[in-house]
This record gives sequence, structure tokens and C-alpha cells, in this order.
Amino acid sequence: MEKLILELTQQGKPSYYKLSTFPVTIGRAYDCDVVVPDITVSPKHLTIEETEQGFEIRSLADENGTTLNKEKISENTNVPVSLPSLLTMGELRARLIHPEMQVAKTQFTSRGSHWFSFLSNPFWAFVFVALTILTIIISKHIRTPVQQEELIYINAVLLPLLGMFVVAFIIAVVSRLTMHRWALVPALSISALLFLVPLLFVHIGHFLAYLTTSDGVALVLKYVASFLLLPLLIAFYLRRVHYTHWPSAIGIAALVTMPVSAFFASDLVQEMSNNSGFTPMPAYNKTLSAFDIRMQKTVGVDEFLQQSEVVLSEQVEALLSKESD
Amino acid sequence: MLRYLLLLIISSLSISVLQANTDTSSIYEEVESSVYQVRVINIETGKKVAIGSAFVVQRDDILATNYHVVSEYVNDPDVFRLEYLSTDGKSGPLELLDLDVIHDLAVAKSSTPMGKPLEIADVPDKGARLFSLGNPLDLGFSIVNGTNNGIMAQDQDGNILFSGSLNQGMSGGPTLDESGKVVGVNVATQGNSLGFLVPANYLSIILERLSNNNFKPVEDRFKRISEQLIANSEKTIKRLSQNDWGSTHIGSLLVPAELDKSMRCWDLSRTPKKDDLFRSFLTQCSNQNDTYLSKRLSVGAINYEYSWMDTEKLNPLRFYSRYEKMNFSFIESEVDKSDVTNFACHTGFTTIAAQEFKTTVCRRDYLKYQDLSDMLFSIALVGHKAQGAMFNLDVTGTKSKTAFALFKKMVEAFQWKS
Repeated sequence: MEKLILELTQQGKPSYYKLSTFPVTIGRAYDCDVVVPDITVSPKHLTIEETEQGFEIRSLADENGTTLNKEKISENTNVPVSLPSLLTMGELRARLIHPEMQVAKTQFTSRGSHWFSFLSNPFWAFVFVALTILTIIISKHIRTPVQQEELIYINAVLLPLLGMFVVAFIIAVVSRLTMHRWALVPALSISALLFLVPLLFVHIGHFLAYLTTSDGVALVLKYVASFLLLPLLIAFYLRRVHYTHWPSAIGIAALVTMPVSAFFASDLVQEMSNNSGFTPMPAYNKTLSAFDIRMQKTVGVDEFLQQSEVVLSEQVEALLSKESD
Repeated sequence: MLRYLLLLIISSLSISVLQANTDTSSIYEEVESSVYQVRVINIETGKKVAIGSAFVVQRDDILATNYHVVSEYVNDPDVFRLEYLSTDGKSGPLELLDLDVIHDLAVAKSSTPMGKPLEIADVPDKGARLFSLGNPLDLGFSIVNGTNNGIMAQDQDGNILFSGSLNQGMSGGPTLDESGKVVGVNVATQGNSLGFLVPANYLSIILERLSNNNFKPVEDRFKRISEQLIANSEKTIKRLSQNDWGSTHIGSLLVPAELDKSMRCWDLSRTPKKDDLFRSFLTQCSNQNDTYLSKRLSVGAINYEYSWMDTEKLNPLRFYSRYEKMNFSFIESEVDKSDVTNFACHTGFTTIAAQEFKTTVCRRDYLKYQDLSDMLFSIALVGHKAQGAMFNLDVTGTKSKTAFALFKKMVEAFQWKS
């Protein structure tokens, strides 16, 4: 019956040694009880001994040293160990755990009832892909007020469809390489959403721009689609497929999407510097909507013009005083 | 036989040229010492950037020329200076006294006597012989004779049409009648053998204002220009408002036709194609009256356009996608950030002709010219599934209140005929 578990984390993967007879020597030398191939560990690095009170460790070599719970221990001194404890030998990270320590809760798999399980459900993957194709066709149809052959629509769909599969394939291959598991369905869902959401945002943004008679909301949605959509989808994917913890999932997603974000950021900076300067073009809300759903009420011409006169002279006054600064 | 005929024609031609020459040379001798070249000189390099002609008038130290000849100096008095050059090569500095940008006139003063002042007379009858003096293309002084073709019909204070070939450097020079009195100031050329003259009575107005003020220079030139532009815009818009505009159809809307006979209107509708799913029409009108302020800047334009779009075949979503693309408006000009502010805009929904329109008013102000604004109005019909209508009006170099009144009067004349 084992009395102590030694967890070694090598290349990101933990391995476990169940220790039942003591003392145990750990090191690179082949006659050690636990042989670790890490080059920063000494040939005979430390021993773990059993006492009446529990366990003690003793450092055998001072080359790269040993820390217990982040405190350095000196050579050839016995130090008592409480469980669980963090141990480093050179660069090697290890833990000493009690065999009966509680393990983390089970992660429910794809078909569980978790609220974002839709990512892994083949039905939803199919729905997302279908919706994306449909949205592309409808957008194309609405945008071109001339008669067109069906081939044109197929043409409009083909390229995004290809893109969608390429993105899905890349995500799946990365998963396969790191996790040794194919996760095609969630990859396809993520990829479809990546195409679908910006398209929907354009239409929603347009609707809101007319609703509020202001371009602000549409702009916010545009920036959400550029900066947040891809990292969020990747974070969801990592959480769902790789069962990564949220903080690391978000960190990895932010890191992976950095080049894309940097591209949009430089775009944004350029746009902002353009907008802050002089333009001979009048900037006003030009949206028109067939639904004509809006918050602004219709007023008489007189009332509107009086309002405009006041508002505009205030705004122009501000522009002039900014200019004279 | 043919040879004799040819000889006869040539000899008769040379006789008429000879006759003309005697007339013009006597006038030239009489006024030669009163006509000068005006130069705008870059203070740093000492080289000229613009030249024109000028003449002595009213007093022996007062010169009249065109505003556009000296405009660079007016806009950047720290960079440039003014100088005269006489026919015999003498030169000296000039001080700008007053100007009239509407009629393109400027008056300057010299510190030394410049010669005999020319007298001002009324414009003679149409068909009268006129002599135009000046300094074409910097090649020395010359005299051109032509005919008075009357005041241009476009508006009451239009220029005199002169059938003689004025060249660029002749701007600012005098045009004399047969008795040697100034009836106009050369301003512009349009193609061959056509020129325009500013009636000299506008010069009299400036000279009278100056002599009342003891020939003191205007303190704030930009303020003076701004006042002139605003007054001119108010006058123009008042005149437009009093006209009977008539009305014209654009789709289901009955709208004002031509605000004035000086307006030039064009149809710019796209040519319909057989398989079109919608119809669209566009007409544009603009006044032909721009006041020159600088190489980049001219104001006083009044432009308006109507567009209409309808469909029987497109669903509302497709129709509006196309209709929305037509919804834009801007003012064509070369202004930059040293001239005007950005546009400030206000958008809302109004009832016009018992229909609902998305309505926008934009205004930008000139930085140097106080209270002077460019105004832009744009309305777009909303709430109809298969019909769209737009009306854009822009007025440059005006007072915002004046433009508001014109817009209001125009849209109040709109009617809906379904």
C-alpha cells in the first residue's frame, strides 16, 4: 500500500510515482529509486525518508539546489514535509501528495448539459454552417438589385465555405498534435461562427444605427467582431475541447490571436488619426431602413430647423474654439 | 482674275487695320502714363508670383486693379508684398486700401504721384467701340479694341461682355470708351475673342467710400470680405426667394423647378436598361456664380439636386439597400483645414409634403471669415416600401440663417401627388 505520491511534471505532462518503501532516492543516476532524465537535476539529488511524524526530505547535492514550498533547503539537512508540498529539483517541478487527496471534479464531455455544449454538438455545427451559407446568399441577394443567375450565388458562397473548412482543419490539426484527439465538430462550429457572427453584426449594426440615428452602436459591434470574436471563440474551444482552465484558455487565445488583433489595432489607429483630423466630408447618419423602426419621432420642419440652428451653432462654436487653441 | 480679286481683298483689309491703328495709338499715347503693372512679390525670394494691370484713378496716387490679381497678398500679407511697374520701367511699393471681392476689384495707394487719373464714365450702348489696356502675359503693354456686347443677362449686377481678346495679364487694366474714359475693368477671358469687364461704377462706389474716409486703408480685410460675401449671399437668396420658381415632377413629388434664370439645370439620370428592377432619376441645378477668394477657395455656390427611385419588382430589403447607396451629399471644393472647420451635422425626421423624411443639416464655418458658413441640407423619404426620394441643397459662403430660410421655403413648396 503506497504511502506517498510523487508527481513530476515533465514537458507539461505529469507522471506519478507511488512510493511505499522508504527511503527513496531521486536523481539522474540509474541506481536511484526514481530516475528522472531532467539535465538540471543532480545524479543523486535527494532522498525522502519516513519518520514517526511523517516524511522528511534531505538534499544530497547542492548543484542546482532544491526548494520545498519555494524555500531553499540546504545540503544534508533533514526537513519535515507536510502534504501536499511543492518541490523543485533544479528546474524540475514536483509535488508530494497524500494518496487520499481529493481530485478535481469530472469534466463533462461534449454531450453533457453544459450551456456551451452546442460547440461540440454535430447538429449545431451543421446549423452554423447552414446559417452562414444562408446569410451570405441573402446578403448577396439584398446587396445587388439586379437580376442574377444562380451561379453567382454559388460563387459567392464557395470562397467563404472553403475558408471555413480551412480554418476548421487548422484548428483540428493543432488539437490533434497537442491532444492526440480529433475535434472536427467543435472546430467546424468555431470556424462557422467566425464567419457568421461578423455578417450578423453588420446587419444588426445597421438596424441599430437606423434605430438610434447614430453610427456609434454599429462601430462598437464592428470592433467587437474584430477584436473579441476570434479570441473568445478560441478560448471557448480550448475550454470545451482541451478542458483548459478559463484563465489559461483566455491567455492562450489572446496570445494566439495577437497578430490578427495587431492588424486590426493598426487599422483602428489609422482610422482614429484620420477621424481626428480635417475632412471636407460631412459625417452624418446615412442609414435608411425598409422597416423604418426608430426612436426619433417625426417633427415639423420648423421645429427641426430651430433645433438644428441651436445645436449646430453650439457645435461649430466648439469646433472654432478648438481651432483657435 | 482671281489674283486681282485676292489683291483687292488684301489691300482693303490693310486699309481697315491702318484706320484702327490710328484710333488706338492716339488713345494709347493719352493714357500710357496712367497704366501700370501690379506685381505680387514673395518677400523672401523677391520674385513675382502674380502679375496684373492697374490704372490711376480719382487721385494721382490711387491705383485700381482686380481683387484676384492681389488675392495672394490679401490672404498672406506676411509672405507677399505689392509693387507697381510703370511702362518706362520704374517700380515702387503699393499699399492696399480697400477691396470688393464680389465685383473683383481692389484699390491701392502709392507713396509717389503716378500720373494723370483716368475719369470714370457710364457703360456706353451695346455695340459701342471699347479699348482695353493692359499687360498681357508679361510681354509689355498693349491695347485691344473690341465691342461692348452688353451686360450679361444672368443677373442684374453682371459683368459686361466684351468681344476682344483679353489675356491673363490684362486683368485689372482699364477699358476705355472712345473719349478715353474708364467704363470697365478687365476681369476674365473665356476662349477666343471674348472677355468680361466689371462695370466701372462699382469702382466708383469703393472710391467714394475711401474718399469719405480720407483714403485710410481698411483695418480688418477679412472682416470686410466676410461682410461683402454675406451681404451678397443675402441679396442673392432674397432675389431667389422672390422669384416664381414654377414646379416640376420628380416621381410622386412636385418640387420647385428653377429658382432663377441664372440656374443651370441638368438631368443626370442613369440610362434605363431592359432588365432593370427599379427606376431612378436625378436632376441637378447650380447657379453659375462663384466668388473668387483665392486659388483654392471660391464661394457663393447654390446647388440643389432631386433624386427619385421606385420599383415594382424589388422586395423592400433589396430596394432599400440600393436606395441607401444614393443617400450621400457633399460640397465639391478644394478647401483644407486652414480654411474651414469640419462639418457639424444634425439629423432627425421631419414631415414634408405630408410625408416623412430623414433630414440632415450640416454647417461648417470659415476660420478667417467671421460668421461665414457653408451649409448642406439633405432629406430622404422614409416609410415607403417601394419609393424613395431625396433632395440635397448646398449653399457656400453664406450666413447660416439665410440658408435655413431658403431651405425652409423650398421644402414648404413640396407636394405629394400619389
